[in-house]
Amino acid sequence: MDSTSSNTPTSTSQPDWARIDASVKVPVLFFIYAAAAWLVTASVLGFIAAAQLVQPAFLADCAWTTHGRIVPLARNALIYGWGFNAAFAVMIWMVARLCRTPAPKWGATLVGGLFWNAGIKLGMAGIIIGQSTGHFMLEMPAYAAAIMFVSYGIIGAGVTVIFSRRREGNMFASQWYALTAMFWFPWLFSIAQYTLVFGSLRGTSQAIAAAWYGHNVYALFLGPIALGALYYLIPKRVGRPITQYPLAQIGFWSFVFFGSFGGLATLVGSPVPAWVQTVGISANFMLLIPVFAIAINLGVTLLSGSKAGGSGPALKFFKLSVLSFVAVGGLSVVLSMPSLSHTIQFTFVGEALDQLHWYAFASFAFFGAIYFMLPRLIVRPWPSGALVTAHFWASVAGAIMIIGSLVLAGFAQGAAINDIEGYPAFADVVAASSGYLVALALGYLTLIVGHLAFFVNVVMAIYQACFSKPSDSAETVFSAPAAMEVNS
Amino acid sequence: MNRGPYLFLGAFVILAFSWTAAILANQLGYGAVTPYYDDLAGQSFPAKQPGIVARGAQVYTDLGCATCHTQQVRRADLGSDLARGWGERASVGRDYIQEHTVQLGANHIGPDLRNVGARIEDVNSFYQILYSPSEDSSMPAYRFLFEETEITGEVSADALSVNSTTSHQVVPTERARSLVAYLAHRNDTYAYPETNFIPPEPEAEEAADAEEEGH
Ligand code: HEC
Repeated sequence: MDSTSSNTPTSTSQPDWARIDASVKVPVLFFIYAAAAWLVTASVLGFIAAAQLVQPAFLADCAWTTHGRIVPLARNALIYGWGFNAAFAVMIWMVARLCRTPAPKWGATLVGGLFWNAGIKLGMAGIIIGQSTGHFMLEMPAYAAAIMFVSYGIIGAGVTVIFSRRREGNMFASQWYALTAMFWFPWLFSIAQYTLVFGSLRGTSQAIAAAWYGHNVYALFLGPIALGALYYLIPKRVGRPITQYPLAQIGFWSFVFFGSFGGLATLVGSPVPAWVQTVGISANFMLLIPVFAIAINLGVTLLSGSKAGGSGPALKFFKLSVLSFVAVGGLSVVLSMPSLSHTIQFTFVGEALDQLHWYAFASFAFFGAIYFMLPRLIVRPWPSGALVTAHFWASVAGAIMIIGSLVLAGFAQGAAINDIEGYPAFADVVAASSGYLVALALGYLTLIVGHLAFFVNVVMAIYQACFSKPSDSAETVFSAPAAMEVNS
Repeated sequence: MNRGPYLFLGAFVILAFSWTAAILANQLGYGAVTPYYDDLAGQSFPAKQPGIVARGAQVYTDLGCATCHTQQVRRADLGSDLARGWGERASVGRDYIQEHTVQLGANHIGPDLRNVGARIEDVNSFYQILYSPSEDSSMPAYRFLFEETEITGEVSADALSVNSTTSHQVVPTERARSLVAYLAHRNDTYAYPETNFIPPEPEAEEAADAEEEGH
């Protein structure tokens, strides 16, 4: 079978989805729970950091909660806590299903998960007490990183076992993304740790390595897993195969190739060799190719499916996720034009792009995937529809407020810094953007509400799964193959 | 694309290529950059950092000052850093080769600090900024870097002049002292051969003119 003849992950003979889902249930539910808990933590920390920008005295009297430590804590909780746990959940479930192979009875994945989370907690404690390594996205001290590395290996080994026993030889786009991402991360992480934390890089090549690693956590791990989930679930949700599936291959290889250099664009104007900056900008420009290909695959499938009447929270999150993915690609190019970057480099706009990339694209894809996956794992609907609605709208509103206020604050800040006559003292520059930072803090408050709704729903769902029997109707809705999966 | 091995081979090649180009090539390039020996001055630049400065760098790193401050001065055509007096010249790679952990930073929430030691000469001003930064800035106070003690006998020689009262004095801790030594040491005024390049002036002016007309 060649790849073009199978453009949906389902084929005519339906395997026993319920059995596959049941085989991964325990570790996947654990990862979803851990992810949701970290998500709440991250938004609370994000709120504190934003509030400190408005009110510098807030929690400033203790070294543990000083702004310069809260910011990396929030980032680590968001990326390694929420992002990686959600990615593990999606990866394990998706690979088992796409390989049509139940996971072997192997408690180690759960143990790996527990240690991964313990590693993050230890690393964050290290940052709190002042042991940050000072490298972007690698702030956690080496001992915590070592624990995370080993536990990642255990989790990855579990996925590899599933893959090696696969019953379906044909690989769908989702698998390319999920499996390669799974192999890339340990390389990225160990290279970055080895060169930066154990200190063999000199001078500003440290900054290059940190930019390379930090961006590749998105471009080669979280982004691919999010895309894998979108490729897998959008066709299921809308009941149509991927439009123009052959483009997926071009999309995949060009996305990972150019994406792996995209981080270098953040070094424009920095004391690094000029060619590094040129490579970064060109890579971002070339990324328009995969963005275009992937937009056709996913976006057109979504649009044509809307007419067919698909709905539900998963689909809503997927739509916004694809939209943000396209927006990130376009904005990265537009904002690196010299006339704009002259104003916005080294402002809040950089963080706005990160949030768009990371929250509005990747996290929304994970939210959608979890909304699809969890009912099938517990063979019950979500406990509270109201909480689902609250989560959706609060996340959307929060994302718009955060990204919008960061963009406005960044433009105000950048324009003020360049206008020396209008804003001679730095305090004037600070004043120029301070109003928007209030909106930023409010945006984080909104996110806290949404993420709490999500967390409570997840906890209730897991509680029900442990302590009550599913009704017969749930059984048919959530595990009968015909109702759950789309054949085409 | 349906065979695992091809997929993993492709994945490996991409990562290896990216790493070679982005990291290895730079590391080799940097390996060749050495301090510059100035015959007239009889010393090398950048000079080795004294121990207290290196300890101060750790304080700067673990308190996360880099979330708000950059330490890199851009060329005149890329931003207003030089015009704001954040340095006499743009930063170059060689400036950083003596530093254990380079803290370039990525957001101008506060001013660039690469040459703050050349701007602010009085160390007491540094203590003052850390103990009570200006009211209308977003810089937090770092009171925990100081000790407030009762005055018994002599007033300590390095008590802050402003915030001490007749009965109490505010004395910087060891960490504050090394952090201030580090800040005072931020001073890249030495001109290396590579810093004497001429930036693309005419173009920059044209762009500036065009922008002015636009307003
Ligand atoms: C929340 C952001 C923030 C953090 C964190 C921060 N600063 Fe600042 N810093 C500022 C702002 C804003 C100013 C400008 C104040 C003004 O001029 O009114 C400033 C000014 C300064 C100045 C004076 C610079 C000049 O040219 O006048 C120094 C020195 C300084 N900071 C050092 C530090 C050190 C050291 C740390 C870490 C211990 C730090 N800052 C942490 C925001 C911050």
